Amino acid sequence: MESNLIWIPLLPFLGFVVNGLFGKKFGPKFVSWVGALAPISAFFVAVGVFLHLSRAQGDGHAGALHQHVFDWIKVGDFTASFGLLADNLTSVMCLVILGVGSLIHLYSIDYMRGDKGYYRFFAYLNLFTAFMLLLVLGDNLLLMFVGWEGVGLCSYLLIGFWFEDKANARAGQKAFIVNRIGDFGMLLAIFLCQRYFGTIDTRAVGEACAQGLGGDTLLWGLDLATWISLLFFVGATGKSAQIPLYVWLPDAMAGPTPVSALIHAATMVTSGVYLCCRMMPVFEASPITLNVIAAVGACTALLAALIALSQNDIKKVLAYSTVSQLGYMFFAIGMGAFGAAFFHVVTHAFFKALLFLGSGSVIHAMHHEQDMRKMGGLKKQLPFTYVCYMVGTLAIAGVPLFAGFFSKDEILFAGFEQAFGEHPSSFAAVFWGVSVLTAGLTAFYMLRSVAMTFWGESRVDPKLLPSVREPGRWIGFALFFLALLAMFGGFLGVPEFLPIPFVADNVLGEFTHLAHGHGDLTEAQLGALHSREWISLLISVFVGLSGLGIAFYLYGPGKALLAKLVVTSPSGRRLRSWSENKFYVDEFYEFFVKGFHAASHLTWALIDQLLIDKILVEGTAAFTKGTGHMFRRMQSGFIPAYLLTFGWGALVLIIMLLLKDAGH
Amino acid sequence: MNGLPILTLIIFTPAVGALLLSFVDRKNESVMRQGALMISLVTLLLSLVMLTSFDKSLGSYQFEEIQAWVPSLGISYHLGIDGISILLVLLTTFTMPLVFLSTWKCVTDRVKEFQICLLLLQSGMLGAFLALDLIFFYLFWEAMLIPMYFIIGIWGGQRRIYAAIKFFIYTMVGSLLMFVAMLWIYKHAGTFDLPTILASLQSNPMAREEQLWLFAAFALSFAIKVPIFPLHTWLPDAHVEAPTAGSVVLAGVLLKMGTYGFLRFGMPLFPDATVVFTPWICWLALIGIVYGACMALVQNDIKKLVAYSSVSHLGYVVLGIFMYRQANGADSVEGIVGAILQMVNHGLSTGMLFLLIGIIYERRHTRQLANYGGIAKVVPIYSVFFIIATLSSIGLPGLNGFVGEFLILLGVFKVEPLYAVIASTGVVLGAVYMLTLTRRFLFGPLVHEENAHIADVSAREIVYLTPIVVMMVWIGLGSKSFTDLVEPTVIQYLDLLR
Repeated sequence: MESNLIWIPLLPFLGFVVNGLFGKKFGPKFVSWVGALAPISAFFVAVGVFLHLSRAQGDGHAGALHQHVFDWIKVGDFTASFGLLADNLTSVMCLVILGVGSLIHLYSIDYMRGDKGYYRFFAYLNLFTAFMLLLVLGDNLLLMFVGWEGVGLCSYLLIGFWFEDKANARAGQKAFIVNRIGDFGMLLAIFLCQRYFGTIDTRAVGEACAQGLGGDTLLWGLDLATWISLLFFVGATGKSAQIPLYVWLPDAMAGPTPVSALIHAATMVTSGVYLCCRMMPVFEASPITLNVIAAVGACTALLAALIALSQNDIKKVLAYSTVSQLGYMFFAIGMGAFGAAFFHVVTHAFFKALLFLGSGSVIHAMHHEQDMRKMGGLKKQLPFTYVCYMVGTLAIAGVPLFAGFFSKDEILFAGFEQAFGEHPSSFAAVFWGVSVLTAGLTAFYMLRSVAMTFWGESRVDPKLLPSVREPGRWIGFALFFLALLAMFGGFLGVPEFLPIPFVADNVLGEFTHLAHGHGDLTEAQLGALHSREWISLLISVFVGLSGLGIAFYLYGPGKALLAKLVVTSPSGRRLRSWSENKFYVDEFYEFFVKGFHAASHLTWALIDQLLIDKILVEGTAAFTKGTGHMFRRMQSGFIPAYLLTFGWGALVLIIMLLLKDAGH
Repeated sequence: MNGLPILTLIIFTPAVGALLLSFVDRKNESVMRQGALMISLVTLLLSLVMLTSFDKSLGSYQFEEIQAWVPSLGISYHLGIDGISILLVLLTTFTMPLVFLSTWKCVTDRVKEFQICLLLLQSGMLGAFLALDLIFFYLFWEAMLIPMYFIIGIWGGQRRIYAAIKFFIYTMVGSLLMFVAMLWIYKHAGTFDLPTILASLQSNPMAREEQLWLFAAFALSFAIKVPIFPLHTWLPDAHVEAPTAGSVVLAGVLLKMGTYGFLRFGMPLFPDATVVFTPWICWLALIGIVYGACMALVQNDIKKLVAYSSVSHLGYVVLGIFMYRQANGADSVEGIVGAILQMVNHGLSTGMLFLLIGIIYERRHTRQLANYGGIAKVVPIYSVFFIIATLSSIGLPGLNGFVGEFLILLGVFKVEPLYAVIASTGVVLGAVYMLTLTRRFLFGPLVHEENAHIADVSAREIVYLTPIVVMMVWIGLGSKSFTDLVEPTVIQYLDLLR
């Protein structure tokens, strides 16, 4: 079994190589086969790994598979091997990446049909999958970092896939650079691990922190574990689009929609959360970091949800929604609920991929129109897409029994427990409140997007309307499977207090070892816990349904939509304008970027051109020339003559020095 | 090596080849071109033969050749190779055939002289990397200067005379001072032979004051070559005016002479002075990293941009070289090994970028970014090569640049965390200017009609670009087989600096 691990990233990588080198020559049919079979075959390998691990789990000796492929870097006491590690957590992540990934590859066959860069698209998509798998399978931080930057590269290439449009190329670049800023933090964290723990092996670093080795104060009163975990989190804010580095993700929607679904919703952007889960002991060793993460996560969730309220581009709504949901996951991490965070990674992958692919189906049918103001009433033309998109919406809104319901409830309960549980905390209470509010907003903006797209009267260009119809069968196939997952995926993590027949409790949490059981509680404590769980559950269901209800009231059938688009009160209008303009964060950053550019230009002109070159270098030359004027005879204008004089002078100097010394 | 003077063969094959070519009729240009290429391939082969019997577990000089030359002055013909020079020698012999191949179409004027200049330049560089005698080193060091001066001055662009003289005088000023310092050392040690001097310094060290002056003289010469801020302004001019082959050799190999000089001569000869100067040099290197990156960001000439990026990249190398000892006295091997590897990496990535710029210049005769944009559609294969070179340059993990950069930063972090933090900002800035270049150069709409029919890379061009890509991936994934060549020497070397 061990030696099979390498095939998981290798198969997609081979797909990339084959399609990259020969795809253009052999045509789209060949490309589709290679491109889709690569992740599908890797999926079966991953299933094998998963079954192996779950059998071991069943036998009571939960372990991990490890494969050392080769020594990568080995200098001094630093070692980074190319080694793959699959434990339970990893194997689930691989299944999600390859499962959802394969569906999206199949979807792309229809979606990208006829594109000039068809082979290029599949090559990139395969390469992305390979790097993503390397990220999750790497047994040390540096190898994870290879995947980490590798997925960033693919994201860059795919956002700018249609590079002839300036905006797309810019969006790709923005994504890469913003991620690099986060990676700066990652690198420093790796340096710290190597310097103080002498290893970058993920398990060894985790163990070191679990044993309290990270407790020494390092700088500014913060201990080592805090610094390492904070720097990891800096990396995570880049990749997983959190404040202050979230700005690249909405722009990343410039890429083809399957890319948005795979990279910018289901997999890559959750790798920050995965990193936290993987390095759980490091984070658990630092309460300060956890608080920071909770605050950043909750604030990001709220901010992005507020922006999503007023977006008219269907993909932008989903993009901000993704940022917001990622914020949720980090909020869960901050509350110490790693299991809940990972659960949400999984369910989010299902329903957000579904929503993106649904929107893609609409966009495809509408000939690349993304503005919801030019849609409306599409449920007549696109009934199947409508149903799937609706399933996704209900799932993300947290309607009971849909996938998002269970994971979101678990997160909100984690906050509730910290805020009002046995050790109440007002800090947790504030951010719990923020998260609950966000849950309501989420339901609202999602139903708004449904209403603007599928309900009401058609605002579609009448010339376009007759040609709007359900796209091809692969698109339908992918949507169908994802809809099933979005409906039933939540049963992976049914809480103990909810008696749902035929479904075991908390399957995922226990399998991944991220959830802390409460086996040591007394009967009374357990009872109190269950009642708190019920309260939290009711609150989250209530809030979610209210969001849906308000959206239904405002945008529902029979209402003239456009009338609602204008909020009448002045303060409402202001809020709306801030939301529409994304709180001017991009403009704020742009200001700094431009300033930096201008400063660089000025430095170049002043220091390089003027001071060093004109004054110092050419000044010296002019001085020499001027002196030469005095000794007119010597000024021949013949460079070698100057050099000759120069050489003679030096020689005289040397001889003088030697003589002086000889005299001693 | 069975008594075969392999190092002599490696050094002088190109020079002898140049001599042979000088007898060929100048009208016979294709013979000239193929001949020069063959000679450089033979040199490459010789260096590979040497590599196969290089014992990587040893940290000492190998294949040593000593011949008394001017015994009365203690000058000897002394050659040797160790972990510090082996990668640089291989880099040189690897780069030159590619350079020769790249000149086939673009150099049409005075082909004969051009090929001869390049061959002499190669001998000079190899000699400088292999010489273990100060005077010999100095001779080769100067010998490199002359062909380069001609290459820029004759085959260069419009302001070639200005650039050539600037290059010449800058380098000359530095090397004269170094020469004086060498004489001073002779006075102290009674020989110019480096290993002998180092041995005698162990028992009879130089006074601190003396060391400071001598180190400064050496350092100035090397710092100009690197170049270290603020001595860098000759570089953008030289690069912009030099023909492609000149730029490639300059960036690929010549710039490493400076950092190599520090390692081979400056630091071991003057260990006390090194300690004193380290913070100054490191801060200049740090300024160079950030400054070079900022300057690269605002350039419109592609060559100038890459030239400034070299200032930034070489800053890492300098930093890695000097951050070799931790406060507690323990050595930090990673930094120095990383720096040596990074010299090679920079040679590959920047060399490839200059080759690519040369290719497009041949077709469009402009290097202004504003004249491009959107050409990825027209020249897709070219664009793939360009993006790979870019990624190597910005240190994408999995390619060569990352390993060197990472090892340097790791080593520096052990010694002086603050330096590593500052230097790491260069990693972000590097992505900014290189991706901006790529975007403005390759992406966006095709705005200039003239660019609509640029020919994509030819088979010949693919032949000389592909080996570089292979090396990039090889070093990126199999870095161990390269660092293993270097590490034992560095461990032994660091003992010398105690």
